[in-house]
Amino acid sequence: MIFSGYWMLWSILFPMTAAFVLQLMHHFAPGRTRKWLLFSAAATAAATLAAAATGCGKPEVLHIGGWSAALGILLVTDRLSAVFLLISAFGGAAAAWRAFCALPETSAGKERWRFCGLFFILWAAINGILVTGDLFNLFVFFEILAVSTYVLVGAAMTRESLEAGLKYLVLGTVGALFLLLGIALLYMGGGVLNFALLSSVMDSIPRGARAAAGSCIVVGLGLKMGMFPFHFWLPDAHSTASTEVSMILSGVVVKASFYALLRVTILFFPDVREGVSVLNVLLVLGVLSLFAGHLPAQRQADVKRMLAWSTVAHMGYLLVGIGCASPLGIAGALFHALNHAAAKIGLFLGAGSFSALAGAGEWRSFQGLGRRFPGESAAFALLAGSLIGLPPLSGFWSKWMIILAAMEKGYWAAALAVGAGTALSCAYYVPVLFQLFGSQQIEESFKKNALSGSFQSSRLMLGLGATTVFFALLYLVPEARDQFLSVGSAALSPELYRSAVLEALIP
Amino acid sequence: MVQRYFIFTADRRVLALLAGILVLAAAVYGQGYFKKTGERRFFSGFLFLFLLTVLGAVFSALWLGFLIFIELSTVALFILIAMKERNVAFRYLAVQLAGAAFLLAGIAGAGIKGPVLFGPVQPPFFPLLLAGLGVKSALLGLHFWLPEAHGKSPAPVSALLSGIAVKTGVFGLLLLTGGAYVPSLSAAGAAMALWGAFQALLQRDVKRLLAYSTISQLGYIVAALGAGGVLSVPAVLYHAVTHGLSKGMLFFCAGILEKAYGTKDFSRLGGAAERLPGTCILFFIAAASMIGLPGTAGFASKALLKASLIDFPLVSACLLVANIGTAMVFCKMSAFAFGGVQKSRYLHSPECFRFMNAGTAVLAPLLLFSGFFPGILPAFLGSTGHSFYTVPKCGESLLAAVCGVFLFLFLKKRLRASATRVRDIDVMSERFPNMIGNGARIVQRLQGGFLRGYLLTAALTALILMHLFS
Repeated sequence: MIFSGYWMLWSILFPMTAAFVLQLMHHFAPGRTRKWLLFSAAATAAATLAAAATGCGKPEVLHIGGWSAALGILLVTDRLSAVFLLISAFGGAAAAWRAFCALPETSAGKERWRFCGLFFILWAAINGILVTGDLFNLFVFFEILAVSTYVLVGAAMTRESLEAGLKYLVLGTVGALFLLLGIALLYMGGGVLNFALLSSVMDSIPRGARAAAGSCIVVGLGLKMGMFPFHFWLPDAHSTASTEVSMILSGVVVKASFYALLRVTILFFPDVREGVSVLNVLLVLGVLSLFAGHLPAQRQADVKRMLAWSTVAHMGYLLVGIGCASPLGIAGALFHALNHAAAKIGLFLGAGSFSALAGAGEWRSFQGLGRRFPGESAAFALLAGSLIGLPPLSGFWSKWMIILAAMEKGYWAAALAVGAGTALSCAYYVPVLFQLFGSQQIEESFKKNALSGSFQSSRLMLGLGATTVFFALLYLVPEARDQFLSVGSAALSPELYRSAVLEALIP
Repeated sequence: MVQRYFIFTADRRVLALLAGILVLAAAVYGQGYFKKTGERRFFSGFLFLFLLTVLGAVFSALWLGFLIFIELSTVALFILIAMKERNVAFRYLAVQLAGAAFLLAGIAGAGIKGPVLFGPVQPPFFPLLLAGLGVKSALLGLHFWLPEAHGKSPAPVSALLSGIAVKTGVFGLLLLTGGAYVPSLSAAGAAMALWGAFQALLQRDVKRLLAYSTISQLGYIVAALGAGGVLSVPAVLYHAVTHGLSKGMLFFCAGILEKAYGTKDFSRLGGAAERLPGTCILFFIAAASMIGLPGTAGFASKALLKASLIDFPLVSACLLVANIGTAMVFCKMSAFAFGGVQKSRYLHSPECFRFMNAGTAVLAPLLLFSGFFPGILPAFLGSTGHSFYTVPKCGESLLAAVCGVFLFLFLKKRLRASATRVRDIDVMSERFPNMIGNGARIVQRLQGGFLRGYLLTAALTALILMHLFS
């Protein structure tokens, strides 16, 4: 009963309700806003974790309202969505911690609570995408997600962030259009919107319609997740938003879109016998994203922009992983999603706090901060090392799994590209680390920096730094690795998902 | 459990011993080289970490373990170099990680079915591993990073780079070929020996000269490695140890010169023999071992190398020429740095060099001991019954040395004035970051800042995808 399927519903409804109720709360009892904010965030994270726990065994289906399968709303969790729900729970909690835990007493700080409405709506949308079992609801949740992120990006209220928000709005709308077009084509062909039902009637849809739907969905979801060549909005939006928004955008939102792409591709467009399959295209676009992200990251003066470009590259790693279409590849991609979420959240947190201390977003101004905040800077270095892929940190092991999967299928070029990503990413993280830990002109910058305050959310930063070591154990402990592999092989078989859902629909 | 991941055979123990001795010497040397207490502590700490990673690499039973430890040792060296020279350290790390990409792919390919033993792999993955290890061990064409990294690092770190770091790569190659005959490696080795000696002669910088000499000596090792056969393993390891010890000493001496005169340029050095007599003696011992004069370890290891190459007269001839070149190189160094008249102001009192000389002197007895008892190390590796001090062998070695000295005297004026640089691909090392930056420009051109471009790209891609899927 503790892990009943209703947790899936709560993980959506709770943040959605909180978003509205908190506004009223603030109106009637403004003194207690912070306490309620923290409570809502903790409760949402708990509900999300519980939802993840429901999917740990066999797929869990919640049939809301008891309407017939063609009309009713289905929520489904399986082990694939459980991994992403985990990312959502911890990533959302981390962003909430940064946003609400240390509300500064300045007037700007007091206004920060307004951010909470959109933040909880965003969290609800992410959870919705992860648990929905229905194509149309997927689209609806994507729209909710998109509208809240457009505004959240612009909410930093700088010139750049408003421009980035606007571009994100236009491109995101076009992406949604493509997504809707693809869904409409599938609905016209199959007559149902339910994931499981539709995937069992895919063969009856004409080949041309399937191809058109496939390309529309790849473009739509690829645009949302920042895949090359639809990544144009991502560096702008992720770098100009405020720190906590960047954290959740880069850590969780793109992963949710990646989950949707993975789910839809495997259910509706599994390997075809002749021609090019969707997975092959994802592999190629993954390799391209990898370079399209790592190369421009090289000479970014602004550290958050550099991190945003690196997100594009890491989406490439995930795509290479699923492009291999093997249990190992998917397991590697999931593991890398976990590592990247933790590391990118931590790096954005560190970048935001260091920028606040140095008074500028350029990494050249970080001089000597490493001496003042040794623990936080060491955590920053560990997270960067993990994303570079230095052994024995966690990022190395996920890259290793992806490379293994690529070589298993004989994709030498993809494996070499993933390996080359290591050298490319060291080329842009290392100068930043030099600047942090460097010994040149320490004295001057020391005096300059000594004036301003302390590192924000330092405990969170240290905790995230520790994940690089902790997650490495997930690969090194054979039992944990086997869990990942079994999630990978379960994710790869549409029959498992289909049969579980159909069983629940037709008792 | 330990046996699953590590094995401790004699050949591995020899390399571990080399690493331990060199790290010990570098630790002593560093106490004099680094002025600030904080720097010294930092150096000693990372030196110890470096030693641990090297031990991990040489004792690994699996390719993956080898890779992990070798990358960790790269990171440790990177941090050690970055203490003084950030850009050099940065480029070193980038190049080594790029090499590791090949290694990773190769190991992954060979290890699909499970952990793969540190040793020969299936043919399709051989080239990938060869390329990866080639970067580590500076095979010809992949050596572009070496002159800069070895030439500009702090002297004790250069000694570790030349003495140990490249040897771990060579050890990987040794286990990869597994004693088989690989003609391309033999040829590459002979070419490296000649090219390294030739380039070393033209260098104006003491440490760059030593760096190119490392390439030349690696050529000897690789040539023997490619020849295969029973003798190849002991010969390769013996020369690796000898070269590690003597090149370590030479880099230490170069560091002392640099500290004493504030320059590494031959045109501004000179007369060090009078001011630094102890260093001068140590230099001559190391140089003699490098040239391979009888009575030093270099003679013994080269004799074993030549014995292993007995069936390859062409390669042996190349190595003999390279040996003459080596003799010329060290004549150049001794004549221009230690001989002649003093040109630059002497910066320090001799007491500063106590630790540095001590660190250098730790290694000298080993070279001489090994020269007087040449059979001990091969016997430890299980290869006995070699006669080292025979008349033809001594004669050949002395002949090469004498030829080198005369040729040097003949060309002395030219070599002193040599402003000519023969192009080598070491310029790649400096261009490497720029190449990455230029690659970025292509991608950034797409990022024009206008929505119309973005939308057009998305729409076009959708059309292409639709065509592909149907």
